[in-house]
Formats: sequence, C-alpha cells, structure tokens
Amino acid sequence: MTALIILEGVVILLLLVLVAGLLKSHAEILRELHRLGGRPEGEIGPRGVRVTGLGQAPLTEITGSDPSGNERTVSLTHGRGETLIAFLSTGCAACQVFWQTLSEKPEMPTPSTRPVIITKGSEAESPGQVRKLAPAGVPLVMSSDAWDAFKVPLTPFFMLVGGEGQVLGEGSAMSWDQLLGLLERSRADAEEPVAAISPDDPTLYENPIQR
Amino acid sequence: MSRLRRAGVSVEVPVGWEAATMGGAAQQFGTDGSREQLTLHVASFPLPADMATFGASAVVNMRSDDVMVILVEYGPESANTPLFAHQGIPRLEPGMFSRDNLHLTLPGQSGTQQFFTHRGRAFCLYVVLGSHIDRADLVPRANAIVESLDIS
Repeated sequence: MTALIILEGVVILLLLVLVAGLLKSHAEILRELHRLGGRPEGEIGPRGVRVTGLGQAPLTEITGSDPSGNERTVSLTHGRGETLIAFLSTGCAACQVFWQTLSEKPEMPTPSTRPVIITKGSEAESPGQVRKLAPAGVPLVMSSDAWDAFKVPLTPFFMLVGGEGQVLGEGSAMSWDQLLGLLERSRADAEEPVAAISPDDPTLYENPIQR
Repeated sequence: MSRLRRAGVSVEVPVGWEAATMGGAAQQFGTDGSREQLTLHVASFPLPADMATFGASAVVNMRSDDVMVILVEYGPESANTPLFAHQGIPRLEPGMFSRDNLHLTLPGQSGTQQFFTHRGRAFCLYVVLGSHIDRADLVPRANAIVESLDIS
C-alpha cells in the first residue's frame, strides 16, 4: 500500500514537471511570436495596410549588395515618382507569388512607381537562391541593415514611399491585386482631411460670451 | 549621403542619387594578383536594374538636369600606356564635353571620356550630362562626384 502511494506521488510529481515544462515552452513560443510581430499591438494588422501619419521613411537610401555581390545604393528621395519596396525572403511561402508576379512586370500603383526588392543580407539569405528568384529589371538590394531600419515585422511586407521619402502606405497582402487595392485605399485615406478643424483654429479660442 | 565601396574604389553618393558597381570581385589570376575589372555608376536619377557598362539602359531616363558618372577599370596591362598616360583622377571642365562623345547619342545630351592611370590602375571616366547647353551648370555636379572618388 505504501509503495503504491509513493508510486502515485512520483507520478504526480512527474506530471507536474511535465506541465511546468509545457507551460514554459508555450510562454517562449508566445514571446517569440510577439517578437516577430515587431510593432505595438493595434498599429498594424498582419494582413492590412497602415495608412495615415506614417511620416518619413527611416532611410533616404538603401545600400547593400545584389545577389552577384555588386554594391548598390537605391534612393528613396530621387524626387521622381514613388518607390514600392517589397521586403521578400526566399524561404517564405507567401512571398513566392510576389517573386513571380514582379517578374511579370505587374500593374503598379501609378505608372511612375518603381518596384524595389529588399531581402536580408547574405548572412541571412542565400545569394544563389535570391539570384534564382530575382525578377529581371527590378532593382534588388540585399541588406539586413535596411531590414532592421524599416522594422520589417513579417514577410512579405510592402512600403510605398513618395519621391521625397514620405511613407504613403505599408503593410502586407497575400496577392498582388489585394496589395494594389490596399495601397489605393491607403492613398485615398491619406488624401482625406483627418480633421475639419486644426488645433490652432481661431474659432477654438473665441470667447463664447462675446457671441 | 552614403559611401559606396568596392575593390579599392569608394565614392560619396549624395542624397537623392543612386550608385551601383559591376565586377570588382577579388580573383587571383596567377601571381599578379589581378582582379575582375570594376565598373562604377553614379547617377542623379534612378538607375535601372540591368546596367550596361557605359550606361546605355540608363541614359534614356535622363532629364536635362541629370548627371551620370561612370568609372570603368581596364586591365593592369593598360596602366601607363599612351591612352592611359594621364596620371591621377582628372578634373572635368565644360570644354571637355561634346555631343559626339556619347556611347549612345540622344538629343541634347553631352559626354566626355577621360582615360587615366591612378596608383597603377587604368580607368576610363565617362560622364554624361543631360543637357549640353547647360554643361557649365552640370559639370560642377559631376566634379563633386569625381572629387569624392577614392582609389587605392
């Protein structure tokens, strides 16, 4: 009888250790997912485009190498049309459609929009794999520094930058059509006045008694 | 502004400009330590993905106020030969430019080709201006790039 109780105690102890281990690994998974999410909750959805109040791009130019090892600087402030930055990786399944679509010279948000692909640097991406997927005619820069500067939260991730470096929209999509639709909506939202009255409007400071 | 470096050549890239290198990978051929020849493109406008050595695919995108500076390296056997006799990186003057010096002749554009040897390396400096008429205004922009070149 005593042996049975001891055995039962040991089993319960083992189960407790097992549960504690599972809880710990679950917490680590959640922490890692949160880290991959990158941005504060509510700022951007996993498959949406953030639209207003985006300010300037964190870099005026992106410098890195192409898959052949050549150096390249791409300007985001060249003053001629928009730049659609596609942050892609070779390993992400959702990126495959964009590697393919970009090689087919797809419709752009505006006729003067230039697509530019940014991947992580050669320490994180295989230049050989990138070379296989790289669409002809689309500038491609491998730069982990750019990836970090733009705080890319997930792949595929897109950022539409105006000719003076202002961010017009950013986010992710599952297809090219969805991306175009979201960017179009973001542009419309950005052009809409966000408030009919500004903080320095004189009517805010009129004395109501004088009316 | 950033600095682009490749194969012992570096250049300042002003904000709004673009730059790209071709070749220049270190490769040992026998005992002379020679390397794949380097080509450097610096432009005041967006460069296309597929650059030809003398920028034929890029010059079609130039506006009249644009400038493109190209540095093409030749093999070590060319250094100090009569064509590359000029020593040091040349300074550009408006008088060096002509509509006839272009690899791809486009209306209004102007170009110059200067061959030189610097630190035992042979180069051709090829510069295209978007407007021959405005060369006096555009040459200083090109010189700012050329003066920032560092060749070791």
